[in-house]
Amino acid sequence: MEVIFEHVNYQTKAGKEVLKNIDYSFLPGKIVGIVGKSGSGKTTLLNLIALEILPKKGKICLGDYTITRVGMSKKVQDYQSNIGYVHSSLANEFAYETVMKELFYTLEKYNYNASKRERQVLKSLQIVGLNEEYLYRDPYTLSSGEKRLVALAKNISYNPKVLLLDNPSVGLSSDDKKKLISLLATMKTRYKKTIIIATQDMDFIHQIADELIVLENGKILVSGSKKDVYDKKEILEQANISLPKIVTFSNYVWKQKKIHLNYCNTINDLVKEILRKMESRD
Amino acid sequence: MEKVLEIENLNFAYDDQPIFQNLSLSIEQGKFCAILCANRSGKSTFARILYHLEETHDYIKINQMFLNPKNIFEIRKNLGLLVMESNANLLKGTVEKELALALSLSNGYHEGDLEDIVRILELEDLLPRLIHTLSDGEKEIVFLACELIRKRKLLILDDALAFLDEKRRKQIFSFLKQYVKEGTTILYLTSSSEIASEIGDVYYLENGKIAFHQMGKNIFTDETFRNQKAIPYPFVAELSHKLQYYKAVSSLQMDDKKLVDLLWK
Repeated sequence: MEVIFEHVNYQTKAGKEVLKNIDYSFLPGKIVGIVGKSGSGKTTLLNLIALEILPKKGKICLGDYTITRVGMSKKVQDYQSNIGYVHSSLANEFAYETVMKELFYTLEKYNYNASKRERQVLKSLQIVGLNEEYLYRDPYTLSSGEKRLVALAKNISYNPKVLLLDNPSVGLSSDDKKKLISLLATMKTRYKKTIIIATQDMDFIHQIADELIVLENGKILVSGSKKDVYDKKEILEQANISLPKIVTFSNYVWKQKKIHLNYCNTINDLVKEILRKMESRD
Repeated sequence: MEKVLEIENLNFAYDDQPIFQNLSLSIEQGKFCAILCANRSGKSTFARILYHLEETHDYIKINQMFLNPKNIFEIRKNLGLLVMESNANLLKGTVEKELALALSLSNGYHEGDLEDIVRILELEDLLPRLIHTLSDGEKEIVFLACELIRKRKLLILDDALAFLDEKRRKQIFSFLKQYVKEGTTILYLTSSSEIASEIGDVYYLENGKIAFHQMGKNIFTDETFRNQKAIPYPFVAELSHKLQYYKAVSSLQMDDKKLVDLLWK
């Protein structure tokens, strides 16, 4: 499902303009990272898609649905079953006393096929790498990383077409991060989901994003492929964004030794690239 | 130097799952240090024990006072705790009011302190804003400012700057390194070796006890850390660690300049 922003503005009740004239198309089968310093409007953008707030001007189109200043004409619940949203703060995420109920009632809320609900609960947990022992745990007794995985399981359980993740890497161990990255890759390529991730973790988003949007004070400063965005050094400086460490290192090697390292997504690729360049020099 | 935290042989378990086993730790006044441990190995539990949200009868002294129900209110005057997801939605006032409240509760306020902190943490634009409308990262900075104004002797940050970007976090860390010289001790609990290396004074917690304490360049050279798999090294160290496997470099490097010079002489 394509998510299209057309001249979208958002203002708080106090009159503060949080988003200004946002134009962008988020395509299915793509992962878009929204980066920018704290307070630049990343979360607000996700909240607009999730229908938690309404735009002041402009419209947001998702398939047949259109969100404008006055709301949405169609049934809201039908719309919401298309959206999976994992908030950045999980302090108010869970309502029930076990993980099982949490997932089961979510499926019920979105009218998921009744005979398959129980199986789907287990399947969703397995997808995020948690075993069935977690079914009877109280979500609030879990560690912050585990909570995030349970919240993710809950939000993919009903097969939403659009997945919104706000700071998904916070609190995760490196193993969990790797799991999350491969999970998102599957969601993207096999299930063609539209995935939008707001984050400040450049090293994380670098490994999975196809496109990046840089927000500053509610405006899109620059957007496009990762490489296009990284090349705009002055703009990144202005938005107070540091490059991913892999990119910084490659740039540094070029500056010091005039050796051009090809573009790498992961540290393992970088190791191979360095070894290749060392051999060709010998 | 006066000790702000002394723990001797702390044992703690949830039901039958042991979290801490004979953990001993003592930290002096005026330090900014990281406690590094893998996820799910008791980071938040440690913070909760020190704030007396979990009960224990073992030997813990905070600011020379035994941690027990009788002393806890006296201790908490000089003990701050910030957690990752503090529920700020309950606060309906402005940032300015919250800072003023912190100021009125401060243990040793000097003229100009508030202005300094507002300037250094870049809070000017946020002052009139309502706290519950701030972004997660902004909330973290506001709460940190409140704690710093209160000038407590011990401040525990349980991954409390997790929502900040790297640049902002580094700026704040370099300010905190100056701030602690006035006598506050700050403990930052994290599972990221990147963050721990930015702080530079690291206690590594493994199997329920402190496995080592290292500073500066030596942080991750300890054998216990090299033998574990749960926490990766910071970027440059991780890269050199992997290159070591292919015999491209012979030792672990913490500094990118040195690594590049070793790779291409």
